[in-house]
Amino acid sequence: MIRLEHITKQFNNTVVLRDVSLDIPEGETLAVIGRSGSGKSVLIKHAVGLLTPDKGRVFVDGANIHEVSYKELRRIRRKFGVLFQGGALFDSMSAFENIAFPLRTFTGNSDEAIRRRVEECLDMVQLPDIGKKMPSELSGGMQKRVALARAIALEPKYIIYDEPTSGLDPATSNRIDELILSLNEKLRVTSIVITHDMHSVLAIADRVAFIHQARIAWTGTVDDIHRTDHESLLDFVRANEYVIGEQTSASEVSLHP
Amino acid sequence: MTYSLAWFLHPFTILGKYSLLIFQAFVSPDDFRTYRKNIFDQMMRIGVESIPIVALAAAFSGAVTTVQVSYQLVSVFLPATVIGSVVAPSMILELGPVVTGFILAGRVGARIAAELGTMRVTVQIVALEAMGLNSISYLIAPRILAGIIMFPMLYVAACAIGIGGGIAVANLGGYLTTQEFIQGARNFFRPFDPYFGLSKAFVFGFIITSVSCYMGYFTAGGAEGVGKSTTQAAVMSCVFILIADLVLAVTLL
Amino acid sequence: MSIPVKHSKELIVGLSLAAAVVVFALGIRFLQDVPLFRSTYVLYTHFESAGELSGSSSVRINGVNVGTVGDVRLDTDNRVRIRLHLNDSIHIPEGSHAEIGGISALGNNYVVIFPGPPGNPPIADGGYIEGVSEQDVFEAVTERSVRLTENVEEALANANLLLEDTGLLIGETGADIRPTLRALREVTDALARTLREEQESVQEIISNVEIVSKDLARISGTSADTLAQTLQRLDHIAMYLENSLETLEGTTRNLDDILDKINNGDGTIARLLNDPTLYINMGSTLATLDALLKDLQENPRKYLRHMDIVDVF
Repeated sequence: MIRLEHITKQFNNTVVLRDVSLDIPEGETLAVIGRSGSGKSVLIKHAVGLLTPDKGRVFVDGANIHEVSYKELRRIRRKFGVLFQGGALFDSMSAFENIAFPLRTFTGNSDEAIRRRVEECLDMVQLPDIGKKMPSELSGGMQKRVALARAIALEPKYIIYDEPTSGLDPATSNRIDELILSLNEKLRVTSIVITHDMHSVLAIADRVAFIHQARIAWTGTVDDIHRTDHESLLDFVRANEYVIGEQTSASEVSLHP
Repeated sequence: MTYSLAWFLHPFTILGKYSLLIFQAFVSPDDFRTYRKNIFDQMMRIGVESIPIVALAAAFSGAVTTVQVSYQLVSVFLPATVIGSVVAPSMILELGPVVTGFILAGRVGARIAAELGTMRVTVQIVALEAMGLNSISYLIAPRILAGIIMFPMLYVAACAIGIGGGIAVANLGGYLTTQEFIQGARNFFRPFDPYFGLSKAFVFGFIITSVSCYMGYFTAGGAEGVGKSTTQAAVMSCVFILIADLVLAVTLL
Repeated sequence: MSIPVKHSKELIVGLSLAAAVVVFALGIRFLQDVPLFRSTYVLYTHFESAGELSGSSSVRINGVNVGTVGDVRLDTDNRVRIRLHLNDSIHIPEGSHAEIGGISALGNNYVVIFPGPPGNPPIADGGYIEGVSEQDVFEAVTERSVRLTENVEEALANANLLLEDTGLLIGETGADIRPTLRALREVTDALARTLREEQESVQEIISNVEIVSKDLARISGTSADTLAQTLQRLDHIAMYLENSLETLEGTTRNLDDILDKINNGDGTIARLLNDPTLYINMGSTLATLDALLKDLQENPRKYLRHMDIVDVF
């Protein structure tokens, strides 16, 4: 259970988040949507303690992560798997090494056990044979999938996806969505997906939080989106639909009753 | 008024930021197991892989010093052995550590800054943090440790090869024989000198790695920022090597 | 046997560090001229002054290198305690003593061991050997050359004064030249005495330097050349002094003749002046003396400076 309470954060006199509160119960997949630069990533970085709020508190499983020691914070972070926007693979290591890295660092497992786990993770992201490749030899989509495999290697309780489909072609995007969906089902994790891709949201999310003008302007289930009359949300969805309409069929994201 | 004060205080802010970074790198590290592989990786990259370029630079500086000393000190009043007496201590005291330092400021310093800078701008450092690692101690401690362990090793190599280069040129150029060279080197040899050179190498190793880690770790501004950090790391390492060289000479000699 | 890939990095790093430690340790021993691997035979000694001795200065017996100075430090009684590292094969019998040899101005001091009777039992490892402190030969040379310069200069000043007086008197007919001549005689006498004394000391110096130079020749061929030049200059000075002495003695004899003649009754200035031989004698004597003194006055610094060995380098 992740609970954000009254988070306020500003950078250089620009308020990015203003009094934002959000609960993410166990097992839920929450999609955080909003325009680029609306503070989605900032909100999520607070959840992992990568940013410290100016005001407000963050609880992960009951622990205030900004009050515990750095050592304890790092222990809490190990409950998370984070898929960064660009993948953030360590470019000095091969795909295999990248996935093995958290295992080698945080478990005392034997090399053999680690190898088996890495292969398992690569299978889960459907890239069984690319272990030896370096990140620079992989396409953007493959990098993201390897990064996903790395994020799940330690069987995290929470997975945070930062723009998992941005910059990918629709086919690859769909594949990533399916992957997230199947992982959520298989691993029973709590997920937070940051995205502005409505297609993705509708495919994978249980609940949606819409960030607008530094606040959470709207929360509700995926079904609720279809019935909302919230101006800004509708604007956002429509803008998306236009883009999606070009890429895939608009009917899939039919929002009009 | 406030502007000039800020300008005056700026260097101290940087010094504080730098000191805190280095302090954090060594306080509360994770399990040693986490760093073991990393330390050996860095020792390979910083130390072993630098041997060829250091050897090249040392051999040439030893050779050039020999030729120039022979040229400058040719006199009936001076025995040929004087060349050995000048070349060997200059290599041990000054050229060995400083030439090694300069070469490595370029090679190792720039590399560290580029590595960490790229990791910073491609979110790899944040990824490390998000994984639950102490990114500062994970990235910086092994590099500094490798620096202060391997630089003295490179210094020893530089001295041995530099004096060797001097002897080779002394023979080939007909300036003096190996025996005369060694005789001269022995005549004015003080056992303290190599230890002083070793301390210099130790300090330079710390300066290059820590300054470059600082530059790289706090890189901002994408690929351009990485370029800037890389250049600055090499330049600032050289500047601080020169300052440290003088400070050490004044305090220890 | 192949190296496991996983550990090859550690192995290479370990090997290079170990190599560095070995090179460093052996390098220092090599430059200190200590046998690289053999253990050493350690002796202690005391001197009044360390001169230019330092760790790595050599230790010699009959001119042969047998080890190095390990450590030089001040003892509680302000004497200098020196540790000697000798080759293992060397055995120093009881009754031996050590001295500091070489030239401190060249920074080239070493310890010389004069072995005692070979029948005596050897001094044990870590034992004590008596240190005899002697004045550095070159310090003595420097000291003497300064004294010589001072003496000659003083004599020259006196002689010059008198010469001026004489010159004046010769111009004035009718004046009694006797006191002046007597004084002149005394001065030349004194000058001759000084030069004779100094000639002896210069010769002593030369013989000393020759002894040292034999040692020096072993240190380095070229510095021995330099010393040979120095020696030549010293010889030159000695010869010069000898010539001067002869001239001065001649002058003194001439002056004696003149004084005798004056004292024997026919000693009037008129007679003196009328006697062409005497006059010529007197004139040439004075001219010689004058030339000699002038030369001595102008040249001695130039010549004597070479006695100061430090200046040579």
